[in-house]
Amino acid sequence: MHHLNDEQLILFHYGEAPETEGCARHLEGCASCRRAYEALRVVLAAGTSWEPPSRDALYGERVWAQLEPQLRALQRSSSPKVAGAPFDGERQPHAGWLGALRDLLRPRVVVLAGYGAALAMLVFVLVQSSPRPEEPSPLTESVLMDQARERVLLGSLGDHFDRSQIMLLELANQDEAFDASSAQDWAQDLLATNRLYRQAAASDGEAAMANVLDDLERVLLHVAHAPGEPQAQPASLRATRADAREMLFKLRVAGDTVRARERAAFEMP
Amino acid sequence: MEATEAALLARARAGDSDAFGELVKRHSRGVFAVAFRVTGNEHDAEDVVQETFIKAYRQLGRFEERARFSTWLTRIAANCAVDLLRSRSNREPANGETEMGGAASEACPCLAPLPDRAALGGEVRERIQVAMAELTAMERAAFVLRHFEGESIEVISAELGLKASATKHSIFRAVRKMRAALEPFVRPAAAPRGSAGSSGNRPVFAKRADV
Repeated sequence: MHHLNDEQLILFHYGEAPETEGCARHLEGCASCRRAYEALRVVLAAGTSWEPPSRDALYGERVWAQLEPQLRALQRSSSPKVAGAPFDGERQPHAGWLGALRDLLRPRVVVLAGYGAALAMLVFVLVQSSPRPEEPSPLTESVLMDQARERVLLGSLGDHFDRSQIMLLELANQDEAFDASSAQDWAQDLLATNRLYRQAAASDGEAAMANVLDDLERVLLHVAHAPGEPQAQPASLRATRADAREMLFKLRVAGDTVRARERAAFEMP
Repeated sequence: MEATEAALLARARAGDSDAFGELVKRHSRGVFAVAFRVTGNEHDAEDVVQETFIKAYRQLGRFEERARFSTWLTRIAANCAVDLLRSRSNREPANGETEMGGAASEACPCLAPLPDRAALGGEVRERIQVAMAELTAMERAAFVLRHFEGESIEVISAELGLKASATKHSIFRAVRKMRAALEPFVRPAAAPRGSAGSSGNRPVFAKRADV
């Protein structure tokens, strides 16, 4: 048998060599190949030491806490009849006028309102596109449905940007004694819907919008996972605030773009 | 008493979200490990963890009970990670941040060397990450599944939608990158029989003239 080349040694290491026994026999008798194999083995063993950052015992709990609202949202979007029944937990009301505004803008409320608005808009569009003296072709109907869908999506996305801006604005302007848990709850709610919008934008080929939503998601994640006592982590709080301010600018630009597109969509014939 | 995985799976399939939650809690760390190794940073890995469980939730009916749930999740995670990296491949790195390693080590505490883990040294880990960053998402996924998860080349090919030859090529490329990155740091402790003094100061993976 000839000397074993690198590829044969790699496959032998992983037990995938076509002639495992032949390779083993050759290694027994060939010092040169044995040295090469030993060197390979040592490097791969060192590679195995590449450990991911550790996650504590409560990591799974946190993942589930973040995942659960998204699965709820998925369930709601796939089965509106069951929306709210087993999954809608009670939330503590927020204090003050800002809290009231926040409650009013709470994603779940707005999502439900969004569904209502979407339904109303679809009915409106269907009525508008119902048989006229000149019967529209199936193609025309399809185009109208696409336009309606786009308007609904743009309107809903614009609302999401508005809500995110309010949250980030509040966060950016808070002093160090603010209630971090409230911001975290809010960020968690926004995260769930943001993820859905990002996925929808990515699958629709809206790369620029997907990028903004992706950036927003990073900031929301940051806020949602911020340490519970900001006083103990002033550097982290400052960084979060800086992220929030930077994101606010991007959101304003993206929000303007969405609203402009929404207006244009309504002006379409 | 803790419910068995099979019992949890049965309940989750029947629509019990608490049972699915329990499965998420049990497997999150394993999924994170795969996601981190393929994506190379914590933020993307967290994203992949979420995506993986959402996909698993949607596809729970397709899970074959003969397979291990953790293995199934690992494969979903690898695919989610590849999708994520591919979707970002046309984006400009923000603030000089690279997908893996490089400046990312400054932005992400997880990539920074840890002084208390000097056995192989933070430098080795950083070198591995830099080496991995030169691979495509698919190459990284194939290598992670083969090297860390012990999946066979046949299974990896099926999971990633690659030909067996392409999977092998991905693994070869990853190993070559890895050894190029690590050869200054690691050497066999002692040359096996009959090899004393023959390697001298030559890098352990220097081109073999005798092959």
